[in-house]
Amino acid sequence: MKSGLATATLDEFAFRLLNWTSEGWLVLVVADELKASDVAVRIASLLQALGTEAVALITATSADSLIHAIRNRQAPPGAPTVSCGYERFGAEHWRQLDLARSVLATDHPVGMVMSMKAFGMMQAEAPNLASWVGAAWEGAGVLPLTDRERTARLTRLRQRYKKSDAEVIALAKADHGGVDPDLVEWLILLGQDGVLGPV
Amino acid sequence: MAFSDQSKRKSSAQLLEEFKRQRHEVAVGLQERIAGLSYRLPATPDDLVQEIRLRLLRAEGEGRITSPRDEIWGIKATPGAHKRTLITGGEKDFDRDKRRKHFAIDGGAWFDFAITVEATDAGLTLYSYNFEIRFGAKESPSFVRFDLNSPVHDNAALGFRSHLHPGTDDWSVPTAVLTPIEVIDLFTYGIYERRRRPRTKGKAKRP
Repeated sequence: MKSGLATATLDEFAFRLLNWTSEGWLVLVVADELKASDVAVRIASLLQALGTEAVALITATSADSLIHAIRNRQAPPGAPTVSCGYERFGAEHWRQLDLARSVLATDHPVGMVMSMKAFGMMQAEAPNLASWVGAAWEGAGVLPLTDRERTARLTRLRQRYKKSDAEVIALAKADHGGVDPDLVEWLILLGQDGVLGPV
Repeated sequence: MAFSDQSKRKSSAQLLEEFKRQRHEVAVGLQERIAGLSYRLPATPDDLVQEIRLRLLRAEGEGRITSPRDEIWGIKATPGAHKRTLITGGEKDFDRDKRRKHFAIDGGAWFDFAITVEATDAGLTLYSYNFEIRFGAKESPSFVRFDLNSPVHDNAALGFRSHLHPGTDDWSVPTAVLTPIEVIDLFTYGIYERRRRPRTKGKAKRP
């Protein structure tokens, strides 16, 4: 995806949502091949892992049902809501939601999880709602080590064990992959952990 | 005595061999038990990282972790070959130098970790890990490290694939395979509480 949006992992989104105190809902845009509803369930579970006892999960089927669910939510004040189902929204639903923007303000944070296609439609058909949204991110995976971080870890491993990369690879091959955790890490950082045995 | 009579009939070399075999059997039994305990991990490495980060954020919210949140968000998942992923929190720190990136615990201790997981047909599995908590050079112990060696390490046959180092790299004590969340909870809550309310003050008294 190249949306131009900042990226956030699901736990980052959950954390930001839980701590969101300003007006406007937060949006997480997920790749079209992912099911937004699965991602929403995962975010709700991450919110619970953060210690939130009450998390409301809403699957919107229409603008009316979404407004009704948000306005009549039975949950403690401040408890977050995660919503999904926007892939079913047509242009008319978005326009209706756009007109009803003033009733969407809540005393608790609301997250919208939607596909890139649904996000594009919201921007096109509900411009007031889109500008009212607090922030939007594109969902992303957890980052790997940077080249610099990888090099720093390898340097410390070489210094500690006083061995070359070739010696470590030979050692792992000779031991049929039997190595301690530092050497497993060493081989992974070199992209050579194929010499290790399976679990 | 039957035992003495039997012993006399065996050479010392035979007795040594028998003793070694019995020790090996005990060690293998121990290894099978401690490494065979079932545990639950999330479905993917990314999910595991997210659980770890949220656990640390929760501890940070409760004042147990005092590091900046950026350290927590800085936990990385680096793919390897054979469906393995290296999950790293904090910098590699053999010198136990507090200036390196780490997770600080209220009270002065700090820790970092490196975990390797492997995706298998049975789900995500712990391949190896080390978690080291440090208390400072003047403390006793000055550190504790939980290690899980790769499955076919030499130690595996000796009951030591999963072990801890109680303040010295030269000593290992067999221990159960712990999940990352269990170790983090131990560091941020269990050891934290124990250090706040020690059972002994100063030198232990003899009965």
